[in-house]
Amino acid sequence: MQTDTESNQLFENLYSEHHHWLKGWLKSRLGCGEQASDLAQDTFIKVLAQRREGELRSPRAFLSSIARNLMVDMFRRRSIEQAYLEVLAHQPEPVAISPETRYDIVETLLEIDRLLDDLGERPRSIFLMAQIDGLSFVDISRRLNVSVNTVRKHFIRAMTRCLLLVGD
Amino acid sequence: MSTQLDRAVLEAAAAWYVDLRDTGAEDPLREAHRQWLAQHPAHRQAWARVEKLQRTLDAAPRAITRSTLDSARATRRQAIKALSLVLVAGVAGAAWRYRGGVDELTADYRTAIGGSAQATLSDGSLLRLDTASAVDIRYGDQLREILLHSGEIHITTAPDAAGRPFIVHTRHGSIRALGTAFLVRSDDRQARLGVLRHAVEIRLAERPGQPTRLDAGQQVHFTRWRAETPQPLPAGADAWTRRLLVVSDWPLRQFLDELSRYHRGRLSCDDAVAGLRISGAFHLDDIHAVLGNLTATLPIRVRYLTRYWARVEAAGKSDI
Repeated sequence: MQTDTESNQLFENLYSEHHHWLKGWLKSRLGCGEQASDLAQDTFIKVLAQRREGELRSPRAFLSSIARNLMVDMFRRRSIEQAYLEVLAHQPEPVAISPETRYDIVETLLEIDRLLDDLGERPRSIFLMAQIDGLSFVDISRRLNVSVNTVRKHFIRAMTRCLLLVGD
Repeated sequence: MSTQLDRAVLEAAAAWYVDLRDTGAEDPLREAHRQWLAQHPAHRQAWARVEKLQRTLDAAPRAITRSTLDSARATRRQAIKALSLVLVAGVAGAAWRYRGGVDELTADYRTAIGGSAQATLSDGSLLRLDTASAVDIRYGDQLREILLHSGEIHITTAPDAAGRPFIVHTRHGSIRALGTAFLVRSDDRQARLGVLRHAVEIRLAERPGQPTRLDAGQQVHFTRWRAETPQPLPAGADAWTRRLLVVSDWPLRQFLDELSRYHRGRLSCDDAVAGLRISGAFHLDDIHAVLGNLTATLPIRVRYLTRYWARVEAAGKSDI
């Protein structure tokens, strides 16, 4: 076991040696210094929260892999938020939505987006037609001009993928 | 922490879900499902995931979910198209899976539409990128790994002092080099592998236990689940590394589809001319000139609806 002082010292070393580099790494990808600063901070907060013990063998690879995931989350969240606002703006009837509800909806959409991410266009679309649009397999098969059995196969593939990712 | 569930069990749970979708409470299938649940804790755990997934889907407002998800996905694709080449040093990281559009934005090496790039990696292997391509380099103690997010790459591997295997991952499967030069293309639908020297080994994403070998001069298309029968590698498959598109007896539509990978904009053609055959070598640096040349050899003309949208039609056709 390490004492708290030791682990604080390790963290401080990590921060002072690599913070500047990480900001540069992020800036080269984001093209924006302010965002890069924010994400660099978030990265170190994640590292703190992980309470790792001992020294890292390749600290920069470790930091950049955390930063990369944060960046991916940020791109995803931004694309969903923007799309959601645009879709709302195009609704025939204006809808008032409380900030809490909006937050919940965006979180839900983010989760579904994440689950469906690496599915091909066809299984993804079949899954959404069945689960969101509420179409029967027969309706879907007519629309896509494929057999019901094909729809079923793609649906099961898509759902299995979701079940893998959704976790317990 | 969640325990690892077998893919087969999850697939069975998904199949149960489908079978039960339209059955009433009294249907004998319900009893069979209860028995399946009672059989094993893993079955119950998998079914709990089905219910969790269902709760998430139920929480999504029907009216806006589909359009929001589709539009967010399209936005990410657009963002990728707009990016120009950035070269940054390699990154090590956790296990990889494809994340629809977001990885391209942060990739170590990427090219814009119509762009190309090459890089010598730390072990001396040579990496070339074709148009609209994105890869990450993950060199670790045990493995040399390349993640091809999308597009096409040409790899010439160098022997490694540490003897680390060289592997290219695509969302459809992985390719292990056996001392080689090869081409990999990967997109939403499928991956394509062409072997230029020696041999490689493919493992499909969903069939990792059954590697298949592909030798020099062969090409194969594959998806996560299935590899097609290998075919002879067409001459000129690697011509893009010299900024050329080399084709032999291609239908015009296929030619335009291929050309449009290098073109920021749309290329389409009328059905009447789609089947005209084309052979030749074309410079990829000036797509408009390629289109111009075509009109000299084929009974066609090119109409520009906008600068970015060209349509190829039969030469005699009058303006609408």
